[in-house]
Amino acid sequence: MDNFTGQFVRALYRHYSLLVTVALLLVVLPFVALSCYNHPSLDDILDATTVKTLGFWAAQKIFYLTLTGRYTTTILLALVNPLLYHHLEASWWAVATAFIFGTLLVLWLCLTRLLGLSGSAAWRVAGTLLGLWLAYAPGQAEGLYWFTGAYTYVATAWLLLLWLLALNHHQQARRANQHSWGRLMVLAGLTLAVAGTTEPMALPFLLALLLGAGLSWWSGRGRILRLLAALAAAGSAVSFAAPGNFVRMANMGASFGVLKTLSYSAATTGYLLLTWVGNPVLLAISALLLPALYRVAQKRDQLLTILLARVPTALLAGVLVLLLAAANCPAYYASGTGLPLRARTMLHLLFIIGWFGVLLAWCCRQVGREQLSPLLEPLVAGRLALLWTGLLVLFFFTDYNVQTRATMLGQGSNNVVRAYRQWLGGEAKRYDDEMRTRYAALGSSALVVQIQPLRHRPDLLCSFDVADPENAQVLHLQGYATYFGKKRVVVKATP
Amino acid sequence: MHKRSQYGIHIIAALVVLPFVVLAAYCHPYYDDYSTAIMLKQTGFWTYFVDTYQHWSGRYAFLLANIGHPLRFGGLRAYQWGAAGLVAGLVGSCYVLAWGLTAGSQLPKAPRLALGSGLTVTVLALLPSPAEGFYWVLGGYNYTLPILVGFGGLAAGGGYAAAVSPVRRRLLLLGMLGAAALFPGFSEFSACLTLVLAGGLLAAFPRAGRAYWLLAAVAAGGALAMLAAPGNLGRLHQTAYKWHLLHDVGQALGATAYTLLNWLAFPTCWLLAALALPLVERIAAGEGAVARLTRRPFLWPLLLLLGLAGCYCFSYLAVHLPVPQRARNLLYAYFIVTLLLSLVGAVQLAQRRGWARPRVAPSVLLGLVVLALLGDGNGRLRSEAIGRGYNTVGLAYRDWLSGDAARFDAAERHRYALLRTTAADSVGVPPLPVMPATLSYYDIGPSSRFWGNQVLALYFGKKAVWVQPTAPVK
Repeated sequence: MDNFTGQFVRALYRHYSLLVTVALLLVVLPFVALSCYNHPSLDDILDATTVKTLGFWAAQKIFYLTLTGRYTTTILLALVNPLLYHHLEASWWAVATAFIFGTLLVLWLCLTRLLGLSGSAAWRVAGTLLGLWLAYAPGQAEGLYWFTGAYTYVATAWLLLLWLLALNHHQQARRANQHSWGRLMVLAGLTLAVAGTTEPMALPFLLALLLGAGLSWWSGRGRILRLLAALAAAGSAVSFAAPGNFVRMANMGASFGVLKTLSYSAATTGYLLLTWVGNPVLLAISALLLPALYRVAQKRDQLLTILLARVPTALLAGVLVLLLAAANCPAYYASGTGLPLRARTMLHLLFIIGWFGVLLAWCCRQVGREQLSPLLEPLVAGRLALLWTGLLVLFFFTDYNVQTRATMLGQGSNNVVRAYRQWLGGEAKRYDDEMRTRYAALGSSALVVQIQPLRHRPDLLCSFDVADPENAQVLHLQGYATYFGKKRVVVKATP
Repeated sequence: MHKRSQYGIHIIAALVVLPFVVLAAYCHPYYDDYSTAIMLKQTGFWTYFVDTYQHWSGRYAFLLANIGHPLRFGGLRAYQWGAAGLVAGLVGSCYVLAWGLTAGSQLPKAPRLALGSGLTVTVLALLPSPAEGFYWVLGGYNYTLPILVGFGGLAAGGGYAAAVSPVRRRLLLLGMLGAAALFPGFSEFSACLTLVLAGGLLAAFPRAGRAYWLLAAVAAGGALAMLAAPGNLGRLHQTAYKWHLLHDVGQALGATAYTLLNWLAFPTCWLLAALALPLVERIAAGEGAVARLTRRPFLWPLLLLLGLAGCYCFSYLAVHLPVPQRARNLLYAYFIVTLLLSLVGAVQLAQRRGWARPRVAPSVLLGLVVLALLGDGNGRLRSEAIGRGYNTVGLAYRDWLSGDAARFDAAERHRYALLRTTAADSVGVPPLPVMPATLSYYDIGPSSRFWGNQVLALYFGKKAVWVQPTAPVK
């Protein structure tokens, strides 16, 4: 028995990289498969109709004056929505796939450029971060498969990560005395772009830059952060003060006062952290990645690791928690409700990045010390990799159905199990069939078309049905009709 | 274990126990509680015992336990004290078990008590069904009392091996024999577990002393008396049984795997195990009964698997259904004990091979225990799922502090008042506004012919009681 166990463990270690790669592919696979059954939602169609009808600049003006000040988002909306260019609603598979692999690519770029990782290791770590996000983000239907949600929030996270890359690139060039206006312009452009995105990103971004600028002013070193903070402040002022924001606020729930906003944001942040940090899969993966993070921290050839070695870990963690709380504030202040799931999906991605950033900072602080922290020592030695892997598998597959109730069987504690169920169980296919039937009806020669509410709405894919009797509005249906070239679309309730 | 960690685990245990004790003040009897109380009053205890054993069920230990049925001695207040007694008994038995397992390990009192607190947290935090384990008192007599008896018996075994005084040894042996005689008589599942344990241990230690053979004989005799009771066989003949052997065994093995996956993946278990490792090392290195019983590292994991699979197989083969929720409380306790003994076995193996234990600060582990207990696994951040997560303790606090338990209690008391004050023979009672998951099991229905309704009517001296389809009481 012992001999067999030993052989098994050795084989496991020999093929560890291959096993990790296969596991990551199996995690991502159902999300890509679900993309094939994805369809545009109402806003994707209405926004495309508005831009096509009014033209780019007039649409920007309308959005700014009546809807939102998020200028980066509205520019993207008027440029990248595929429905602007062609009737692609029946071939919508590429959209979510692009966001999945785009996220992977951006993460890979960060790992290679910021941490100096290379080769397959960089892809595996990027895949791990992507897998964690896909598996545990709270609202993939709104945040990934809904195009408007994805470009508003996921693309915003990309912009932030690209901004980090640009800043790193600029600073490294400066250290090598290679000043370039081009790099500075790109950095300034990205700063303005991030400031013009959604509020839960723009506000913490502005606050972080103001903090950095304050520190650089206090230490009397480096003007770049002060310049970027000024740009972010200007961009945010343009975005936050837009008349459209106030119009939208007037149509939403009652605004919270400052104190109520702060207390609700603090409570929400506490709950988010409790849920996200308390995820045992994250903790097991962290234990598995710590040896690699420690090796990265030991190199000290990257600007980021040098910087992180100077920052107390607890301070960094505290600042990130405060920024998360700040991200929750605008929604409570403006509408008296919490952030939508699509925004929390973006925050989850940033939380994962921040979490591993804090762990890296911890490793960076420990490097060079005579004695490692007793907590870190056994973790970085990697002796317990087999135990962590076993726990990871266990925690990943459980339903947390401790009462072992039949109703909770196979519901999964993560999105992957649900994604496989919705894909292989045929629910996604049935949703796709219903949507194609609807397109066929809308493609007929009749000027008034009846559509039925969807009977199958896989919760990972579908966040809104225009024909849902509870939500159906004449204005929405008219926008739908305009896009499909019909006079009117009416909802016919299913018996 | 550091002193501060010991205080920490005691505080956590107190906070874990608290809501279950409080909720006992809001619980109410269910169908069987009434029907058994009526039978006991009408026929007397021994007639009830003999009749039931001969014609209905072989659960002789459970039938004996009914000598202390709360409704025999009083009304609702006695019933609620009965439920509180079950909670207190389970908690007390965890400390007794910890004491017995560490007998002969030369450990001081404080860490032994801390192990008891750790066991209390592990058992209560994941108990599959507190409603059927404590607050339905007869359910508790069936499936929680055997946990108390089993833990007591194991503790007596640990003490017996470490005791020097002959009088003490005899007393502890008597305790073990009592537990071996009673444990299999509570339900078919305790009988199954008895057979697995007795068979497995004797197969692993064929040269065990006479005392162990005697114990095994008593336990096997008890299991036989339980399973082959005339009442069981008679009931079996009343229904036309259909064999679905392969299907049932397949279902049972699937259910076992699923149960293990969900119980093993509870992070609190792992964290508490890591926290208890220094104590487990001392137990493993000692000369006590536990150290001797765990020298074969694969024995206890195997018994764990066989026990769970055996019970699931029995259930699927007998009634083509999974083990009922209340019986999973017993299986969970068995899982915890066999897991702990498996851990001792693994530590012994590590000690023999000279593997060093990774040292993690106890304060970090305690912090993670708190984090794991506070979390509700609501990864999808659904507002309706806040506080309803996988943790039984969190749910108990929610049911208590949200006022659901108080509303449930008030509605039940309102029904009793109606039943007592209405002169008519037939009474319609309002539906319950809320049924807290920790407390409530089933409610009577709209049909007065349903047997639950009938026994309630009989208990209150009415002909018919039913739930009116009206708006619930606020």
